[in-house]
Formats: sequence, C-alpha cells, structure tokens
Amino acid sequence: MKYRYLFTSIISGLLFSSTLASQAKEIEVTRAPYIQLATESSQVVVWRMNGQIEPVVRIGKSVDKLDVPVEKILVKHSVHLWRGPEVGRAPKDTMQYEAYITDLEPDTTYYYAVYNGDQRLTPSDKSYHFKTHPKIGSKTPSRFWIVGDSGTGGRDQKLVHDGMKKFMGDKKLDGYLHVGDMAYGSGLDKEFSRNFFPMYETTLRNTVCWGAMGNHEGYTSKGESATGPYYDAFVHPAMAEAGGVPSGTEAYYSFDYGNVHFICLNSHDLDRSPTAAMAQWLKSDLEKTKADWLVAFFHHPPYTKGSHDSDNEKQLIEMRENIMPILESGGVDVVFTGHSHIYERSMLIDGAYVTPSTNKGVVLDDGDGDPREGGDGSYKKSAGLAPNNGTIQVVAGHGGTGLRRKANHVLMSKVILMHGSVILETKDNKLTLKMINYNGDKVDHCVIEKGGKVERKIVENPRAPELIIDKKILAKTGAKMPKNHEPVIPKHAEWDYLAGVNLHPAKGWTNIEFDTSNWKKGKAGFGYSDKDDNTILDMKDKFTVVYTRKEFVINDLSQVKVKGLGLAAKYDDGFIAYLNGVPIVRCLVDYGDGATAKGFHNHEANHYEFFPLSRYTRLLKKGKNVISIEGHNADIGSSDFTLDAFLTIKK
Amino acid sequence: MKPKLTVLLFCLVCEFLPAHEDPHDVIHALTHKLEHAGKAEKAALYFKRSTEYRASRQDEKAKQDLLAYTKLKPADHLGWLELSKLEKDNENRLQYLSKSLKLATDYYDKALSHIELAKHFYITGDFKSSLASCEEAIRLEKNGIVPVELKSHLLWSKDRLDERVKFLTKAREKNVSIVIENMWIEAMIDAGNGDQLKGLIEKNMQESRFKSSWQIRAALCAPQHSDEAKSLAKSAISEINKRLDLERPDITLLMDLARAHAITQDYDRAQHYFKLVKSSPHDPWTISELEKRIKETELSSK
Repeated sequence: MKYRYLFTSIISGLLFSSTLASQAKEIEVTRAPYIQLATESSQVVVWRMNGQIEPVVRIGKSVDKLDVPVEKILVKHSVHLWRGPEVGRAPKDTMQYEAYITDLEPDTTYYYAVYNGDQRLTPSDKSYHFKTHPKIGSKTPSRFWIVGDSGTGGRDQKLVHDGMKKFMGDKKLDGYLHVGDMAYGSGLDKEFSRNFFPMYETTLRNTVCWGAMGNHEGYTSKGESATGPYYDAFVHPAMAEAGGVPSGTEAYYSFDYGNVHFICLNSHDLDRSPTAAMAQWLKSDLEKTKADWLVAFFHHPPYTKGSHDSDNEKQLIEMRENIMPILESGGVDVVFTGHSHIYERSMLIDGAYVTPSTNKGVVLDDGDGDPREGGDGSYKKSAGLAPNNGTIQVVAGHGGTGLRRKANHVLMSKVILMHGSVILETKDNKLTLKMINYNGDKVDHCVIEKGGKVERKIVENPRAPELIIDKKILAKTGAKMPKNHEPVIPKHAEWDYLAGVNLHPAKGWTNIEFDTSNWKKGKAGFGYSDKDDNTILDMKDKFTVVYTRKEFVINDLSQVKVKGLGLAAKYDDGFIAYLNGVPIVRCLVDYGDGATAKGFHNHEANHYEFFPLSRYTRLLKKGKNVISIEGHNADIGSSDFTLDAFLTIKK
Repeated sequence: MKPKLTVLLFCLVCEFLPAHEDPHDVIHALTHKLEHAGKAEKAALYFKRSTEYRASRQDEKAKQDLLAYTKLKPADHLGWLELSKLEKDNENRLQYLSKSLKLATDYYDKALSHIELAKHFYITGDFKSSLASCEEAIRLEKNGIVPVELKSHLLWSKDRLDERVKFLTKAREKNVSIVIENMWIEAMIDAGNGDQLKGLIEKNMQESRFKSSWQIRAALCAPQHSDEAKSLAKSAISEINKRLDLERPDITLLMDLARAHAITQDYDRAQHYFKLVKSSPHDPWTISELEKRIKETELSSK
C-alpha cells in the first residue's frame, strides 16, 4: 500500500519561511487542488507543488469565511512517490500534500482554500468547494458523471468535458467515476499531469473522481502492491471509510452515496477467479450492503464489440464468466466499463455468461428503457436489490480517444459511435442513464424503475440494437456516384498489388518512378469472402493491409480540369489514396499509414462511393500519372475485405 | 542493465500506442515494428507483444515472446517472473522463479517472486518451502493478502491450528481486509474457539442483507451434527437457493452450498456442488481445503 511511503507526522504549525527564502526558484502549484475520498463526515484535498511549502488548508461554510484550519496534512516527497524509472517518476522536488478534513456534517457544502503559510494559493472562488456525502442509507438523489478511455490530453477529451458541463448547466455533480485509461500511453506520472488533471481541473476541484485502473495505467501501476502513478494520484478507501466492507487495498473498494452502493474492481492485473481475494471481498461486500441501488465499475467490459471483442479477450471473458455471476446474484443494477472505444448500452439482461455471448435466454426486457413519448418505457425491477433481476451494461469507452466498432453486440440496445460521457441519476425509485455527446446533447436515455416484485421473464427473440454513428464519422466516407461519368482507369482494371504477411512496400511506393516489377498483378477488386472480388487474397487472420498501384495517362490536362476528376471506390473497411505520391483521400483510417496506420472504422462495401478530386487536378501531369491505394481491414480476423477502385471523370 | 530500464523502454514503446486497440491489431503492428527494431527496442516489443498474446489467450506464443525477451534482457527479473506464470514444466518454472528472485531489487518485486514461488512449491507438494516463501513475501509486503491466504491454508493443512490463529490475529491487525477477517474467524472456529465468536457472528448476521455465510459460520461454531448446526445450515441453503441460478451459478454461492450440505450430513449433495466448483476457475488451495473439509465432516459422522 502506498501508505508505506508517507511521512506519518502531522504537519501543523511548522514554519519553513527561512527555507523558502533561500530557494532560488519560484515554488509553484504543479497539480491544482482536487478533492478525493468523500464520506459523510470527511474529505481529502490533494495538491502538488514543485518544492516544499508550509501547507495550510482552511475551510468554512461560506466562501468569505474560511475560519477552520485543517490539522492533518500528510506530505509525500517525490522520492516517496512511485519509485519507477526516472521518466515515470514524479519530477524531482515534487511535494504532494493531502489534507484530511474530518468532523464534517453530512450532506453539507464547505468552501476551501489552500495556502503556503499566509499566502493564498487558490483564488477566492466559489468553485473551490466540496459537499460531504449524505448519511448512508438516506434517500438523497444523486448525480454522477461517468467517463472512460479519455486520457489523451486532446481535443475530443476536452470537448466531452465541455459537453457535460454544457448539459449540466447549473446542476451539480455528486461524483465522477472514471472507468480507466485516464493517462495514455503508459499511465506515467507526467501523463497524469498532462492528460488528466489539467483537462478536468475545474471539475476535479469540487467533484471527487473515483477511479478504476485501466490497462494503460497498468503499464506502470501494479494492483498487487497498489503502487505506481495511478495509486499516487488517487486516495481510495481501503478501510471502508466511505461505506461497504474493508478491502485492505486501494486496488478494489466500495463506497456509499446515500442509498446507492458503488463497487470498483480491478479487472486488469489481479486474479479474477471466483475463489481469489477480490471475488471473496466482493461477495462479503454484497452481503452487507442494504442500499437501494447497486452500481459496479471497472475497466474491461464483459460485453462489447467496439474496439475490443468480449468473446476473444481474457480479461473481458473472465470478468463476464467469473465476476458477473457474483454481481448479479448480489442484485447489481448497472455496470460501467470502458476499454472498448465506443458507447454500448445493453438491454435489461441477466445470466449472460457464456462465451461467445448469445442473446438466447438472457434478455429480460429488449426495449430501449426510455419512458418518454415514443420510447418503450422504463425497465422494471423489483424493489431493493433483488438477485438476478436484470442488469444494464454500459461501455463508456468513448471519452476522447479514436472510436471503433467491429459489430453490434447482440445484447445491446444502443450502439453509438460518438464521443461523449454518461450521467447517472438516482431519485426515489428511479435510476436514469443519459449519454451526453461532445456537444452537450442527450443521445441515449433509459430508466430503471423499481417497485413491488417483478417476476423474471425471458424475451425469446430480442430485437437488434439500434446503431447511431456520429455525422463527423459518416462524413469521412464518399458521396453518391454521379449518374454520368467516363472512366480514366476502368472498373475492374488490372492493378499492381503487394499483399502478404509482413509485406509492406519501401518508402516512396506512391511515386511515379517507383519500381513495382516484383509486385503481383490482379484485377480490381481485391479481397475475400463477400463474393465481390476479382483477385482473392488470403488475408483473414494473417494481415490487414494491401497496397495497389495503377498508372494512367492523361493527354489533355485542360479536359480533366474542366470536367473534374473523381475516385470511385467500393471498400471494406478503409483506405488511403495517393495521386503521384501525394495523399488525396483518407477514408476511415484516422492516422498513420501502411503498417503504422491506426484508428480504423468498420465499413461495408455495399456500393461504389464517389470522392471528388477536382482540388487535386494540379497534381496531374501530362502523360504518365499514378494512383496508389492502400486498403485496410479494421480487424485481422474480419469476415471480409474489399478494395475495388477506379478513376473517373464526371460528365 | 538496471531492471527498471525494462519498464522505461516499455513505457517509451507504449507512448507510440496512443490508445489500446484490439490485441490482434496491436500484435500485427508490433510484429511489423519488431522486423525493423534494434536490440534494445526489440526486447520491449517482445514484452509488449507477449502481453497482447496473453490478452488474446495465446499463451504459447506469449511464452515464446517472453523467452525471446529474457534472452535479450536476462538481467530483468520481470521477464522471468512473467515467464514462470506461463510455464507448465515444474523444473523450468522453478528455474525462472529463482532467477526472478535473484534479480529483483525492490522489496515488493521480491515479494511478488516469493508469492509465485510459494504457489509453485504448493503445487509441487513442497509445503515446507511454500510456507517459507509465504513468510518471506509477508515480511517484504506487509499488506499483501494472497501470501496470508496461502500461509493460513498451509498451517491449516498441517493441523497447526493455534499457530494459524496467532498468525491471522497479527495479520488482521496489519490489514483490515474482510478477506483476512473471515480467514481469522474460520481459524478461530477450527481451533475450537468458536464460542468466543458468537457475539461477532450474531452482529454480522444482523447487519447483513444475505445471511447464509454467517449462518454457516454459526453452524460451524455449534456442536458438530447437532440440530442447531443443521438448522442454521438449512437456513443458509434456503437463502442460497433463492439466489442461485444453477444453469449459470455464482461459484462463491456453490462453495457455501457444498459446505452447508455437508453440515446437514447430505454428503451426496455436498459432493455434487463441490464437483461443480472444481470444474470452475479456482486457486488450488481453496479447492483442496473445501474438499478436505467436506470429507472430514463426512468421516466424523461415521
């Protein structure tokens, strides 16, 4: 446990002014104050400096009257934080301060400020506040924000945060669950400082983030010893400080907010078998809770066909086969996960543990759970936490990184390829889930309503999921083919191609002068399985990219410029096209090229799409030209692939 | 090289993987990178690819990558430790673990090697060495739960029941985990101190939504084969049956059900549920303990 690193002394009334005066560099806040581990009577405020200060925290019920000094402030120096390689450590001279504020009243708002001695470090601002949890068991409404796979430090992550704030308006959050992958690429200390804390600073200063460790944090943090930058960043309950039963580790824990019991599990690097310590703790925790609502969260989704496949991957299968039976016999209502870069929200299901997943005999309600006009109505469950009465699974891996979908999972009600996050609300006998996109719009809405005794009924032939794809992603595909066009390179012409396991062309392969004499020749389209290919490639489970080139001659450039050139393509799943060495079309491949291409999206080759190239006619030369296309399959195990292109002039 | 350099290289490799994709695709990309990588980078790529192979349940390929990794970085304890987890041959496994232990520098890294060694010795029947490894792991990693669990089992299996109580009494002072607390309660009952627990069990039973675990503990405190014990066990069975879906069972409930049926002297059912547990993923000591407890209850009734 990380407490081993603590200076256990309580800092109170120690003066460091002489030390500070002698220091040449200016000591600054390097991680802005954020709140952690809320209970009904306590709160932790954490922040970092790049040197030693005299830490003081004052709190009060009015922003203008912060009259209560906090007595217990724990201090960690950089050498006592994670002791990994230099690149992953907290920077030299880092001081992490953790103020443990106790003896608070439940369900009460307090304002706080952080000082260095008498010098105030945080502005006099109402946003520096926290609200203690209501009494455990009280039927206080709650509102939590759920985000996953967001830690890129990029534009989409910021938009998702802004979208949530726009949607919320004046309403307040009671907590924030992060389901992991908050600091790409390796969960390093510097990645937390760059990709997580500054991105959510305005929310983290007044809303506790309860974290679940993702696989990217798992590169540098270890669940077994609860050490690493992830464990340095968070203060989680190991001793049932906020409800539940003690886990003895911050790797998995539980807490209560009023009548909602939250359970966080480590799905990444701890033993996931039903006889292991984590499962034993889970069983005991579920036995004790008397909450009205039960919410579990962890990183690896038991059900997904987004960027990951829950039928093929170890952690996902084990969480489904070993852990879900314990959660469902304990009456879980909702499970939030991430890992798969998509939003998927299930129907009301129970007992879906077999591999591969099936929708036979496990769907209790195949409606959309939406009680509003036009919806199918709320999901109904018995009052309290009835065992095996139905769970909603939510994959919220759409918090900021590249989106991807392999297929529609048969247990999902909604599959949405769009960046966003989720708001969970409980009030009276209703639990509401809202998927909020990056614009602050509500894209999915469902409700569980509890009351009386609801008998378990199985839906024999559940409906298929509804698929929603962001217009931004759709816009990357081509337009409808023009009615009249004249080919420059005819349909199904013979192309040079390079395809095979670990076969990638040398640099410059898209240029006119490149020698393709050792490439094969074949008629377009290239691919397998879907009966629309002239050149069959043995790609499945072997490789994902094929490179094609076709030379063509233009004798009269003025004609091309007037009429407009276009690329027609039938493709599954994406491609990048080059004209005389210059990239001209990037379709459903987000970044990179060749072997390093990433960010694929699924697409079916149903018909030719038209990509106007009029802006690129300047690249054409009189005489010989070359068009080069690399076709990508989104998944190496995909059931089909197609790349069938020709060059045409609109008439 | 310093062992931690592995993590550093690994992190540098991962920095170029902005978000985790499907293991198949990552394997594909890493395979391509491996073809052009230098020696230092290659090691980290092998390690990373082994992780992806394991995630996609291709353990043999993962093992081959770890073997390649340990050839390139023989001084890194982590490679040997991870390799040991995939090795089925006992001699090889021991060899890998010995190397891992020798090379580990941080005390929690050493503790992890000791935990794996303890499991290895347990599987190969060398209880004495297993116990010694557990003790080392506990000494180095004072808050660990797994070595406490294994040591507790080893002491129980050798009938060192009072020593087990003393050990767990200290362990629960260091770590408040409910898992250790429950082990201590079990140890107290096994050592014949169940009467001291009545208040604690009663309190927990009242506080719990599901009472079956506590009813079983209470039944174990009552005189063996007594009506009181049987009545408590029957109450537990009744509650478990309301929660249990036998087509898709919660294994933790099945374990309780097997024990409860043994207490009611319904050994056929106890064995039936035990077999269901055994066919599910489990750690070997939990299953062996459950089996022995059911058999002992059966024998004591004859």
